[in-house]
Amino acid sequence: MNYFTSQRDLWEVGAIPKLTLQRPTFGGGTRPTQGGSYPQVCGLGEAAWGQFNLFNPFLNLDRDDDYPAVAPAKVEAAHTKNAPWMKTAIGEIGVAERKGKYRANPRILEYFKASKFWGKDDSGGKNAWCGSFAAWVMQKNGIKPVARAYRAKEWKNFGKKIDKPVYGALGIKSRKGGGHVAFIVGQSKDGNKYYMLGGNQDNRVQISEYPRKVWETFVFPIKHDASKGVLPIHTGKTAKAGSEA
Amino acid sequence: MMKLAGVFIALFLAISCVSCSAENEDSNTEFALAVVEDNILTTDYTALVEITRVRTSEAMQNSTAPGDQDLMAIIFTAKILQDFQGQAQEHIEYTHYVERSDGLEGLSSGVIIVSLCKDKQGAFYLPDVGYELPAEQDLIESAQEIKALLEAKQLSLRRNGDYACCPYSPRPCPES
Repeated sequence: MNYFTSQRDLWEVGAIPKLTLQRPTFGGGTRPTQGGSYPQVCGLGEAAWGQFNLFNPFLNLDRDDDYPAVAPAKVEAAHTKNAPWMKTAIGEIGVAERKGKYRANPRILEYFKASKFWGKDDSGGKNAWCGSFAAWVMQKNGIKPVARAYRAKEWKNFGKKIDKPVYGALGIKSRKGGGHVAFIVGQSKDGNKYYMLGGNQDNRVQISEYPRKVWETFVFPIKHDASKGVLPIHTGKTAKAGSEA
Repeated sequence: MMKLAGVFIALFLAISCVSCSAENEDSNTEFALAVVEDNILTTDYTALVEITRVRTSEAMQNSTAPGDQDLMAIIFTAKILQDFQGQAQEHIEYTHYVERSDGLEGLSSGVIIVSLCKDKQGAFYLPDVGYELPAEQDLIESAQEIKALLEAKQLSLRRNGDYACCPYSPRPCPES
């Protein structure tokens, strides 16, 4: 039993605050392999997780190293040619939240600024930063983000909708009280899984595996030609988690 | 001479830091000011509230809807200090759905401006990121102005055409 499954008061005015900032643990960095579901920030929790920090090791000061490393996926130059912003996005892999209130990672505050979000703390649900990350990446590549880009679902208004996702397209999905937005980098051999590079995926920038069906919309920058793009098979090792294990 | 140069450099850096910090504070407020009107006009209820109680709920554990199991419902009880749009009440209860991995970090407390949607059952919930604003004077005054314009019928509530909207309000989402 933990606070996720129990119903209880966290605090009340006049009472001693009993907010416990306990985080889920996985026993020495080992992920749960059976049963239950897996926590996933700014997206559905069924997602698996991954991946690499080789592209920008200097940004990984805030990485949570409890998570075992997995082999990096191949980044094909041909793909990034059609979606040049992906170089920027890949370079951010490993950027992670700083634990504790008012100890935000300055890089994530830069993401906030790109989306014109006023938050000062990078942790917690109220400041979910997947949309801000997408805004920062696009802005760095001279592409104007949507208004209120800090809200994932607003990205449905971005660029043009595409029927078939291609490398670098932004995928958007909804959940109660929010949504998630991330860049697609690949698919599984059977096409049932999508690999998404996004911010705030388990509190960091990383590539995660999602069921294909959860993604409602894919969009692509209007001045770029999505028809030249493809969606490669994702070859990097990705740890399975939760019910998908 | 070297000492004097050192003092100047230190002074310069200190001034830079202060102005940089002030600039960030200003831009934060500026960003929030830009959405006050939108938040008020596109949601079911907006008020200045003081949070008095926070608790978790098992609601999501029992839900069978896809993805709900991965969410945690946090229920806030708050005293209404001033309402800007929507039915006036003394207290309000609303749910904030967060990802489990967000845990209980960074939960809201104290006085805030909050804009809420109603769900199918008429219960209030926080619809997305950015519907909670700090209780800063500029923002409160802006909200008061919008309330006055609404009462004078110089502004009207609108349907949010940008997807982040209240799906069960009289002004439903474009997709619903």
